[in-house]
Amino acid sequence: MVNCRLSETDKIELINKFLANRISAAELEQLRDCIDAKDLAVIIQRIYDLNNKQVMKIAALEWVMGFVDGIKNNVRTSRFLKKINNNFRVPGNKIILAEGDSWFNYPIILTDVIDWIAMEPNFAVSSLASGGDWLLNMLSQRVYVEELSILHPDVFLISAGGNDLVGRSRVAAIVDPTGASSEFNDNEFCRELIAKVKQDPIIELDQARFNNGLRFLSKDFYALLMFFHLQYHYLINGILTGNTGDAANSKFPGIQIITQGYDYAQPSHKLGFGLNPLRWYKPFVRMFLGHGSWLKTPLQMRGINNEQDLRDVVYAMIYLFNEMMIKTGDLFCKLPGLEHSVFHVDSRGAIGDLGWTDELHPLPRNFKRTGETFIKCINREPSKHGQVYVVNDFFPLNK
Amino acid sequence: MKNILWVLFISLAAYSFYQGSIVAGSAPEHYQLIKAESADSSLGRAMFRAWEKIPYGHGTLLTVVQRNTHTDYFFILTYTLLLLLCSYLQMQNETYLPLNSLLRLNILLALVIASLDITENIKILYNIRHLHDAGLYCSPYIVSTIKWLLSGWAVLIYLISLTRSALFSRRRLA
Repeated sequence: MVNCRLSETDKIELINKFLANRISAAELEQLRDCIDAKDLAVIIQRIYDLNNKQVMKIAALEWVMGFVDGIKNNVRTSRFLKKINNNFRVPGNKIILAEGDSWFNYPIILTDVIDWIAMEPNFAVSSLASGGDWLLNMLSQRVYVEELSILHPDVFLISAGGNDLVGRSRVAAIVDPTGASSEFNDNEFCRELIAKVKQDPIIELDQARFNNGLRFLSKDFYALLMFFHLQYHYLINGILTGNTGDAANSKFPGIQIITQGYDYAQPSHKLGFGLNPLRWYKPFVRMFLGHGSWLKTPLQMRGINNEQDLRDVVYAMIYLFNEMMIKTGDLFCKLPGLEHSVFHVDSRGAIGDLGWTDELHPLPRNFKRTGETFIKCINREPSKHGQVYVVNDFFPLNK
Repeated sequence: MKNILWVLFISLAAYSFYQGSIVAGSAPEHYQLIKAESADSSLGRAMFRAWEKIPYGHGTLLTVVQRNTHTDYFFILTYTLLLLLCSYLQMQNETYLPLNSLLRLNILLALVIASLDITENIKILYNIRHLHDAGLYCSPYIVSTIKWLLSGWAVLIYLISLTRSALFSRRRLA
């Protein structure tokens, strides 16, 4: 906490303002510089209204998921070691560590983002990703820290936050079903994110959909979004500066960190039956793997039933989530020595309405487009948007 | 895991082949065991009756056929797991999207093929049990034909993808 200038009392006061969605952008910045793992635990307990044990319990992976995810990760590990054992670590080849959720490890049936990346012959990918994993769990377990010190990878990929938002019906707890919320106006951090979009948009904002979605977002959503910002900042700061704010103190000099922020997921209960035999898995996945339980059911539980409202709530959430991720990365790119360290792969609008396997996960062809955008980013091919790699820029959606 | 399945697959295939050669070699008509899968009612009954008349060990050749059909259940389990695993692992290597999707379809096909093969075995055992009951023959021909067509397709897709990957990686190395 080298840059921390807050007393313990001030910090508590800022945390209270943070949770009440009344914190200014400058205060959030002060809090960010002072936050540690203990504070993060306190904040999440208060957002979720649970004690630490209960929070860890809901964030932990269910054993079935852990087992199924393990099958894929074991295959990945054996391929990784096969490459390493063939003198892989030479200039031109990249060692990649991936931590994340189901976009990085979808159980067996789908070829996910990491599967596509790992097919590159000059990449060796070690994966810790688990479908259903929470950012909170990743940060508390800190398995990636151990792996980072062992592998000293060239690239660290992370995909997290989706389950913290929609896992265990949490999305029901962060909406205001009256449709009269004006919490966005009280959140300077988010207002600044959108002000930047209006000056220089990376992805065009559909103002009507966004405003409609905002009506349903409660103060807890903003607290959670800012919490993601603090968590990601803490994670990246730890890797790039050893939590000192100075690149010279990094244990992993030159490491490239790439984040991603999903696409506008589709609340739905439809089973997805169709005539295309190559999509045989869609109804199967939808019947047995949680489809409908992440978004549509929890939102309907709170009384948000209109199809357009449901879609717009998710639109606003994902739009802000991506902007928050881009902002978090930008903070590091402004530090001397870290100008080209943090990148973001932006999948917003890349999947379209018909490109989904279920509520949250794209069809393999769309996972491929995101995966190939990651590959371009890892290979440092230039992007129109600097550190942000927009999937639709590289692989436009065929409508 | 894959290696264990291959060993089991080869062992069971060899054992089945051995049983088949006993049946084909001992009966005067030299009926092949595999023909039981595609025989119509009259040929099927003729085969089973011919095998029933020839003593072998403590029973007849028909006992060997029955035992072979029971062994086939283990064989089905083994080749299904093998097809699932090989298709899945190859899917992780297949960069060409249509082939990747077809390998994913193989996962479903493996289960369909196994179901068809189990149905076929049930029909063969039923036919043996009702060998002397007039009008109770149930030909497994259609089930068997679909099973072989789907198996051929699944293996073909796997081999095409495997060859493509090998050529592709060799070209990259060159």
